[in-house]
Amino acid sequence: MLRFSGIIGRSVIARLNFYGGMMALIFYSFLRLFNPRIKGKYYFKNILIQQIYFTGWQALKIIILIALIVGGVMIAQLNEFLMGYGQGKLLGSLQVTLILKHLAPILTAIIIIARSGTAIATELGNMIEKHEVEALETLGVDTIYFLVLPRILGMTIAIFILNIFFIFFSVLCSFVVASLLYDNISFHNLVEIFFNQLSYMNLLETVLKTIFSGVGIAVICIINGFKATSFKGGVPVAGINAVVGSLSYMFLIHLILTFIFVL
Amino acid sequence: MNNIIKLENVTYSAGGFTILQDISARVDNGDIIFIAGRSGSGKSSLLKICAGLNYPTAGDVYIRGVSVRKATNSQMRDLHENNGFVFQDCALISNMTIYQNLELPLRYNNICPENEMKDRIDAMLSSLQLQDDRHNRPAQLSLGEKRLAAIGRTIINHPDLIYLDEPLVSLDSTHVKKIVDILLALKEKKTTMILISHRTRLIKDIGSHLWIIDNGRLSYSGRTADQETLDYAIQNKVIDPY
Repeated sequence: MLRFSGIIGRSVIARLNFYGGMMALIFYSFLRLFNPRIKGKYYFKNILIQQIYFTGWQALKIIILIALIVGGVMIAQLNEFLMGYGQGKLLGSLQVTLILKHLAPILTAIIIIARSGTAIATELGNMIEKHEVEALETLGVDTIYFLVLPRILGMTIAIFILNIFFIFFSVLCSFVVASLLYDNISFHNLVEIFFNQLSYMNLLETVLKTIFSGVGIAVICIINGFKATSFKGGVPVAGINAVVGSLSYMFLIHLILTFIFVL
Repeated sequence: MNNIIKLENVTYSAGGFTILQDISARVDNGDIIFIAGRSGSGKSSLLKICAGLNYPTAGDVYIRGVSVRKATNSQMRDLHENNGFVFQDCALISNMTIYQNLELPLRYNNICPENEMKDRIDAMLSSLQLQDDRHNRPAQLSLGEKRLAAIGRTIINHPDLIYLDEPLVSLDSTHVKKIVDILLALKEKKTTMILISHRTRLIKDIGSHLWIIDNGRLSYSGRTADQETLDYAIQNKVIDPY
């Protein structure tokens, strides 16, 4: 019993240490934005643009595809379900709420974790193994400003933009499908419902989920990348840990923020 | 202050093991120190301690009078800006071209204006005979070419203190000659260097002092001009016998 509680205790302490490290890394990274004399702005801007391009632009097609499928499938399933209970009038608002506040942030984050999260962790892990990060330090490079901050900002900006695309295409597809398939639903009414759902609180919830996801996923992947040499399996294990850690974090933060706004 | 590096009772442990024990030494301006020892004796760790890349567990290291244990990250970056380190595995940034790797120390630290930067890089590529590889990434180069590029990246901003970890290991004679020529040129400019190598000929031609590391301790320190130093090292099989 004592041994078991020791295992639990150590696991909790390790987790708290990890999240403490996350907070410290985020704080010291963003602190650099307020240093006007910082060197390496040329590289910071270039790497930031590269990150937005890779994480955002290159993922756009898959995001739009999934958004269209989710939108179309959801509206059909919801309509069948709600009509059975005579609640067809709730279709538009339920669809928009589910997409805006839940599906868009979660599914966008999952795609980004799979694509970019593993890429960040393995790239940094390889840099650690090949002493490239040490080499940067020997050149007087601030590795937090050069490696960490552009990836955090790049991923957050990309997730935010992709989220908007997901919401737009998912809602658009669902409205088109609904107005084509069901005589009792008009496209114009659905658009009106959509704009009614764009309340400040709903938007704030979506924005916060996006930002917390973006920052948290980036930092978890970066930390796992930097720790690659401490894992028995090296870089591949760092990639796996980055994905699992990011998914756990993303669902947890989604749960917490949802309950905050519901309560 | 003539000494550029000072080690005071340095002990370094990592992963539960004591790698260096109670090492005290100094490096004066213009010295060329060779570190020799058997595999696993702590040579690379000592080199990194001298460079401020590893922090001592006990004791202290002073680089240009700055205590490595007390220095802030910003102070360490300023120190590194004026030093250079050549890693054994080259450590070129793999997602940058050779040109971009050479450009990095110049552009990051705003060493010179844009047009002078381009001239410096072109001159360096030309002297290293890597002009044709300027747009290639490190993975496309041979080990010798990578080692040359790594040295080029290190010396392009004319540091006065350079660390080199086994700069000649695994190279063919052509590349060995090129690198030796570079080291001789640096010696002419009175650049302070700390190198790990077991090549007796190189130690005799370039070095001023030899440090021998044995089981994490500085077991011997002497001038390379003294035959006794080289004989001791050869006898203990830490440098080549010829």
